[in-house]
Amino acid sequence: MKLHTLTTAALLGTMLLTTGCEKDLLDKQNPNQPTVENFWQTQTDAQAGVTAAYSALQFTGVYARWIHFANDIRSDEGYSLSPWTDLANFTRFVQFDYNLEPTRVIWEDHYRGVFRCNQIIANVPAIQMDDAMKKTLLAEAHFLRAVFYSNLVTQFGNVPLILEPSTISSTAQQATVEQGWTQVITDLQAAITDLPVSNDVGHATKGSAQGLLGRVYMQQHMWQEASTLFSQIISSGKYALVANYLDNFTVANENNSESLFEVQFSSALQGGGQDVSGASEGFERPQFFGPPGIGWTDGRARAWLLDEISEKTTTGEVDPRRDITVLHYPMIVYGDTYENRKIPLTDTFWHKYQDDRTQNFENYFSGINFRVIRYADILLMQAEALNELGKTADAVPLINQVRARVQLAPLANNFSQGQLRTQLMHERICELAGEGTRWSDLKRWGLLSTPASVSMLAASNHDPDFINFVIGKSEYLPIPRTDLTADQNLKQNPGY
Amino acid sequence: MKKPVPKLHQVAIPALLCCLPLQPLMAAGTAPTAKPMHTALSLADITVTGRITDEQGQGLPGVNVVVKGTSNGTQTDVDGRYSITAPDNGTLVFSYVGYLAKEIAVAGQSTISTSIAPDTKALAEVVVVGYTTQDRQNLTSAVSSVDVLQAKKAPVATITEAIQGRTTGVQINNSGNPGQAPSITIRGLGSINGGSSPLYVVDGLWTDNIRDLNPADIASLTVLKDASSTSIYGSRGANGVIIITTKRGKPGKPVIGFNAYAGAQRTVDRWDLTNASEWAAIERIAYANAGYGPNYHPEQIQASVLNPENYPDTNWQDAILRTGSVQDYNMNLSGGSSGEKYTTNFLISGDAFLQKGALIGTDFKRYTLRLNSGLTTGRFKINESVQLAHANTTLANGQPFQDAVRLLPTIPVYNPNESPYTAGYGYGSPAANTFGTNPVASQKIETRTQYNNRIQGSVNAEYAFFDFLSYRLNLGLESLDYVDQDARRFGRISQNAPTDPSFLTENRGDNTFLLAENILNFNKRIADNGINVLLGYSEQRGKNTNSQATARSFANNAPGAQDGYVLSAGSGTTSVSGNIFEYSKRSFFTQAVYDYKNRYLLTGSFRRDGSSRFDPQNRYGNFGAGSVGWRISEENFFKEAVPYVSNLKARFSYGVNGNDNLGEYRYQAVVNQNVNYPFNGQVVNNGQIQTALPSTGIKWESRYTTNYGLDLGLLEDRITLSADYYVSTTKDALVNPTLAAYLGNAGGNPYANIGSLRNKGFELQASYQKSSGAFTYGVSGNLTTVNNRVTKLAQEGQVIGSGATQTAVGHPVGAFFLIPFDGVFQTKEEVLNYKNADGKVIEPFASAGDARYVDTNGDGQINDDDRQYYDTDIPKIVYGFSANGAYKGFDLSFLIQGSGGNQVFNVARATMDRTDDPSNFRADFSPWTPENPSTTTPRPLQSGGATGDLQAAAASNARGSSRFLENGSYARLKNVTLGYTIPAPLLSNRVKFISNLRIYVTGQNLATVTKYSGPDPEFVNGNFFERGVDYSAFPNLRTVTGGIQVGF
Repeated sequence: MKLHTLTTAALLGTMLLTTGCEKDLLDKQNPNQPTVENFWQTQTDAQAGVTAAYSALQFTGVYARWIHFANDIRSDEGYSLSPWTDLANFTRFVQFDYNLEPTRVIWEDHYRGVFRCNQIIANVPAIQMDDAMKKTLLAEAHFLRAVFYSNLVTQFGNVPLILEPSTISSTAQQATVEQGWTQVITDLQAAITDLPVSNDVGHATKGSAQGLLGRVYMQQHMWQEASTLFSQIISSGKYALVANYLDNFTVANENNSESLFEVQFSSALQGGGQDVSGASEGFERPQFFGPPGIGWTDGRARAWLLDEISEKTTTGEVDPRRDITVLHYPMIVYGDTYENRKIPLTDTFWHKYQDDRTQNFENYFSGINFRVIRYADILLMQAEALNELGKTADAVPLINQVRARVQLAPLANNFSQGQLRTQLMHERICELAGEGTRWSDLKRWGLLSTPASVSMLAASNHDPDFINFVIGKSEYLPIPRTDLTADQNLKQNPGY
Repeated sequence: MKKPVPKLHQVAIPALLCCLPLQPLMAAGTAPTAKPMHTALSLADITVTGRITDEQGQGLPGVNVVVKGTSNGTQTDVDGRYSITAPDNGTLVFSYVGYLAKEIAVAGQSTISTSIAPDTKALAEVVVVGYTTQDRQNLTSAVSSVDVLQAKKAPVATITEAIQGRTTGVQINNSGNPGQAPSITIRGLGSINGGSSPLYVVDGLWTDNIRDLNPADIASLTVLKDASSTSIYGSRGANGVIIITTKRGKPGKPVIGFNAYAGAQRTVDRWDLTNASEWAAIERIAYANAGYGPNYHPEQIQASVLNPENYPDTNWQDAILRTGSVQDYNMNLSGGSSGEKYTTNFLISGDAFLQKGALIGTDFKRYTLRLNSGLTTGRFKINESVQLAHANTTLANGQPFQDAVRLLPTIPVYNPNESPYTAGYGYGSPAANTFGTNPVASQKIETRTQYNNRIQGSVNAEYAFFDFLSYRLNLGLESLDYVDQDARRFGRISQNAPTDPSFLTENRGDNTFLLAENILNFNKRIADNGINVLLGYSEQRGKNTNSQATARSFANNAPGAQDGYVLSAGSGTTSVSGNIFEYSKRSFFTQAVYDYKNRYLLTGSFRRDGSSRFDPQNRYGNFGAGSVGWRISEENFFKEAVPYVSNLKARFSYGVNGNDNLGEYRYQAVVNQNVNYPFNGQVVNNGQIQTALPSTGIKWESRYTTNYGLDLGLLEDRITLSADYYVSTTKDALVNPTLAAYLGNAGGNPYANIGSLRNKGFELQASYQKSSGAFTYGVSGNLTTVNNRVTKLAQEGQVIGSGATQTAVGHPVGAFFLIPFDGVFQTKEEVLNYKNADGKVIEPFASAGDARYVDTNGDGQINDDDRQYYDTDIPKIVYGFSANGAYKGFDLSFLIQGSGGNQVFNVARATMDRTDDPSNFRADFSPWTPENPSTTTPRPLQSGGATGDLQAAAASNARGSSRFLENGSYARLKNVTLGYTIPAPLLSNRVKFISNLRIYVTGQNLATVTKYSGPDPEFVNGNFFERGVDYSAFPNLRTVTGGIQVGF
C-alpha cells in the first residue's frame, strides 16, 4: 500500500473524528447548580427556599456583625476606639464615605434577605403541596421580610420598597418612613394570621410576629395596638422568664421559654465565604467586641452602665445583670486578670453575648444565638404601653416580674405616669443593655430630637460621641453611594 | 550562583550527547585540514573549508552548508567559517534565510569562500495572518513583528515581559512578583467586561496563557492588531492576537546550543520611611493637635509615641526584602535531513528557570521540555510541536508591601511573649496600635504554593491534491493540571486577631482545551494575479474541573509549628467543593487574498462563530473584514521618480470581530444549593434559593475597527517606517454596571449588552540598520498613543465601580473619580471665608492646617457628590527606543521604555499621609505646622479629638481625595546587554568541539526616571477597573545577570 493512500485515509479518518458535527455541541448544561426554571416545583423546594431566607439573618450586615455597631455602639451604651478610624468615626456620627463598609453591608445584606423572601412569596403559592405547610412557609417569609424591612427603616429611614423577585432591570420606589412601617405592618399581620403558635425550633411563631409588630407599633406611639398584641402574647401562656438571666446570652440554654425569636448561630463550621459549602454560620460580634488580646475591641461598653446597673438585690448584692452585661475591673478577662493582660484598669467591655463562659478566646465562629425579642422586653414594652395609655398602676407589676428574676425588690405601685417613664428608661437599660434595643428606645422617647436631650447624652461622663450628633441627620445612616449612583431617582437622607 | 545545577540539566547533557550522530563529530575531530588532498583522480571525500560573507563582506554565521543530494551538512560559525567533508566531485549548497541560495561545485577545491546576496523578495519576511501566510511586503493589515532575538536578552520568565517597549500598539505592565504573568492589552481596552487580554496562537494552538512557554524556544512573535488581521479569529480576535512560532530544526548537521545565565535581583526601589523617634515626633503633634493630653484621654496616647526609645526601631522593609536571584539553563539539539523522498526536522529543547524572589518566602521554578519535529514526503507534510512545562510558585501572602509601610517602627518583628497564642512574632499592642499584619510572620506562618503541569501541543498535517489545492488539518491540545495549596499554621500575627485554627486548603484541577481546524486552501498565481482562497471549519472544546478541600486544626497546632500539612491530618471541621465548567465553539470561516502584480492588494475574511456561552437564541455571530493596499513603490513612475524609496505602501482595513470571553453558564439563573441555616443547635439545615441575578439574554459584543496604515522603506530598506492610525468602536459591549444593592443580588454584577466603547490611537515604528566595516549598528523606536472612551451605558448616570475609579459614559474605562483636593487652610479666617454662593461655610469644622476640598456642586458641604473625573491609568503614550551595535567580537544593546500621561492613585501614600490612624510615615512627610505652612499636606491630627470639630477635621483630612493621585509617567532603562564572542580562530585552537562561544552581562530595569513617589510607577493591579490604583504592588526587580552561550 502506498504511503499516499495510507495518509489520505488516516487524514480523512481524523477529520471525521475531530469534527463529528455533534448537533448539541453548543448545548452545555450547567452541572454545578440546577437552574431556577426547574426549582419551585415541590414542597422540598419550598422548605429549602424558606431555610435560605432564614440563612440571610446570619449575614454580616444583618445579625452576625454590623447591625450591632449601628444599634449598640452608636447608641450611648457603647463606643469605639478602633484603630480603623473610619469605623470609630462611624460610631461617632462622623461619616464622610457613604459606602463605608458597615453602612453599605447593612443595606446590601438586608436586601439580599428581602430578595429571598420575595422569591418565596412569588413562587410558593403555585406549588402543589400540603396546604398547612404552604401557609406556614409563606407566613414565615412575610415575617422575615418584615424583620429585614424593619431594620432597614430603623437604620436608613426612606428606603426603596421592592416586593417582587428582582431582575437585572427592576427598579423600586423610595418609600417614606411611614410607608416603610406600613409595609412592615402588612407583612407582620399576614404572618400573624398564618403562623402557628408553636413551630419547629428556630422558626418564627405567631408570638415572634406579634412581638415584632408590637415593637413596630411602639416606635410609632400606637400604644393601644401594641398593648393589645402584648396582652395576647402574655396571655398565651407560652412564654416565661427563665430563672437565670445569663441563660439568655449563652449557648447553654438557647431557644428557651423566654425567647420569642432568635437568630440561630452555630460554631460547627469554620469555613469562609457566604452561602458556600462549609461556610461559617457563626456569630461574629463576640470577636469584634472582645477585649484586647481576645478580639478586635472595635466596640466597647460605656462605663456609665456600671453605675446605672448597680441597684442592690434583696440579699445585698449588686444587680447580677451588671457583671453579665459589662466586663470591668477587677473581673477576670477570659481566664486572666486585667493586670496580666496589660489592660488599663478603667477599660470596660461588653460581656453579654461574649464566649468567655465556655472558652478563653474568641473568633468569627461563635455559636451563641442572638435573641431578637425576648419575653422580658415584651413585659417592659407592655408596661410602657400601659403607662402611656394612662394605666400606670397596671404597668408596675409587669416591671416587677422582670426585677424579681434578679432578686431586686419590687417597686412600690405609687408612680406618676412621668415618674414611671423615667423608671422604665432605667429598667430597660438594666435589663436590655447591649441587646440592640437602645437605639430605637432613644428615638421612641424623643431623646434624639431635642438639643437639650442630645447634649445630655453627650455629657463627658456619658457618651461624648454625641457631640457630633446632628438632629435631623444622624438619626439615619446615609444611603450607600452605590445605590444612589445606580438609581438616580433615589434621594439621599437629609443632611448627608 | 550557589544553587547546584538543576537536575534536568544534569540528565539532559548525557542524554543529548547520546543522540549525536557520530559522523559530524568525527569530521570535526579531524578537521581542519588546510592541506589539499593530493591523491589525484580520487573520488574520495575531501575536507573543504571556507568563509561565507554577506554583501558587505561580513562573515555570516548560521549559513547552512549542505552537500547537494545528501544529508551531510553543517553551519557556518560566528565568523562565517565552515568546514565540511564532501566528495571531490560534489556540489555545495549555501543557504541562509533571506538570502539567495548558492551552489558551487567542489571540483577538488579545498577552500571555497564566497559571498551570498540577499534575496530582496525573500527578505520580505513571511508573516502568518490568520490561516494564511503573507509576504510582509504584501500585507495590508496592521501587524507588528517583534525582534525576538533582542527581546530574548531580558532575563525574564515570560516573553510578554520582554517584548514591552519593542512593539507598537501593545501596553504591558510587569511586576516583580515571581510567577505573575504581566498584564497586556493591545490597542486599548476593547471590552469593559474584564476580558481584555489578547489571544495567543502558539504553533496553531489557541491559548490564553503563555506564562509557561520557554522564551528561548520562540522563533517569531507577531502581533495582529486591526480587524483585517484578527477578524478571522472571530470571537477571540477583538483584543488582538499574538502569534508565536517556535524554533524548528534545519536540515544539516545537528546543532547543540547551550545558554545559561544567573544573577541577582532587588526591587527597583523602596520607600524611605521615618524611624521610631521621627515617627513618634509627628504622632505627638497629631495627639496634641487633637487635644489629647493631661485633660483629655491621656491613657489613649500610645505609649510608644511618648517614649519611642523604650521600643524597637524596626525597618519593616528590611525585614521583608532580600536579594533574590534568577538562573536559567537552556540546552537544545536540533537538526534534520533533506532528501529526495523525505525531509525531516527535529528540535529538542530543555530549560530550567529558577527564581528566588526579592520578597522573603517567594520563589518560582519552571522546567520545560520541548519536542518539535516534522516530516515532508511527496505531497504530504506533517509538523508537530509540543511543550511540557512544570512550574512551582511560592506566592506572597497578605499585603506585605502595604503592611511594611503601615506597621509602626516601634513594633518588633519577633516577640515570643506577646500572647499565649503568638507564634513568636511581634504585632501591635495598645503601646503601638496597628491595623496591619506582621508581614514577616504572614510569609512564614502561611505558605501558598501553586504547582502546575502544562502540555501545549499541536499537530499540523497537510496534503496537497494539486500544486494549488491542499487540505490541512490542525489539531491543538492544551492540558493543565494544577494543585494550589494554602497552609496556615496556628499562631497570631496581628493585633487582637481571632484565634483561628490552623488549616490547609487544597485546590486541584485540570483544564483541557481541544481544537480541530479543517482547512481547504487554494493558492495559485495566474499571470499577474495572485489568488489565495481558503475555506475552513473548526470546533473547540474546553473543560475545566476543580475540587477544593479544606481541613482544619492540625495535630501540630502549637504556635509556630512548621510541618507540612496533609488533609487527612486535620481534626477540625472540613469543607469540600468542586465545579465543572464546559465550553464549546463551532466556527465556519473563509479568507481570501488577492494581488495584481504584487502591487494592488486585496484581502477579505469572514467567520461565523457559535459559542455555548450565550443564550441559545443568540449563539451565533458573524464577523468579517476587508482590506486594500497599494504598493506605490512598485509603480514604474514612482521607481523612477524617487529611487531612494525602496518601499512605499498605503493600507486601509475595516472589519468587525467579537468577544465571548466572560465565563460559562452566565445566561441562566441558578439555584444556590448551600444556603444553609442551623435550626436547632448544631444541626445544619440545607437551604436552596436563587442568590444571584443572571445575565439574561446576553449575546456577542462586536468591535469594529478602521485602520489606516503606511509602510515606508528607504535606502534599500535600511530605514523602515510603519505608521498606523485606527479607530475602533465596541458595540453591544458586554457590560456589568454596578446594580443597585436593593435588588438583593449576592453574586457579581450580571452582564448585559448595553455599552459602547471607543478606542483610537496612532502607532509609529521606525528603524535603521547599518553595517560599515567591522561596525554594525541599528536603532529602532516606537510610539503608541491610546485614547479610550466609554460612549454608552444602559442608562443615564450608570457606572461601574465604587472605589477611587469609576467607569462612566464620556470617560475612559476606570477613570479616577475623586473629591478634588484644594490645598490647606492657612488661617481660621480662610476657613470662615470659604463659603458657597449661599454664604454657607463649607468646612466649618476646619482650622488652620486642615485640608480644603472643592465644593464642586456648590451645596455648601463636601461629600461624594463633589467627586470629579480625573484622567486615567491608561497612558496617553507608550514608547520604546532600542539600539544595538557590534564591533568585532563585541555586541552591545539597550532598550529604553516608558509611558506618559497616565495617573496612579498611590494607596501607600494615602495610608501613610493620614495622621488620624496608626501607620508609619514617609521620611519626607512634612505636614503643615505654623512654622511650616505647607500647602500640600494638612496638619497632623489624631482621630477621636477633644471636640466634634477636631474629630470631623481629622476624618476630613484623611479622605482619599485627588491629593493622592500622581503622575505615573516614567522612562526606564529596561535592558542593557553587553556580549563578547570569542573569535573563532582563538576558540578552535583550544577547544575543538565548540563552534561558538559568547559571554554576556545583562542589566534589567537599571534606571527609572519618574515623578511618582512610590517605589515603582509600573505595577499590576489585578482588578480590571482599578488598574491605576497602586495598592502597594510588588515593585519590579532590578536584575543583573551574567551568561554564557555555547554552540557545539
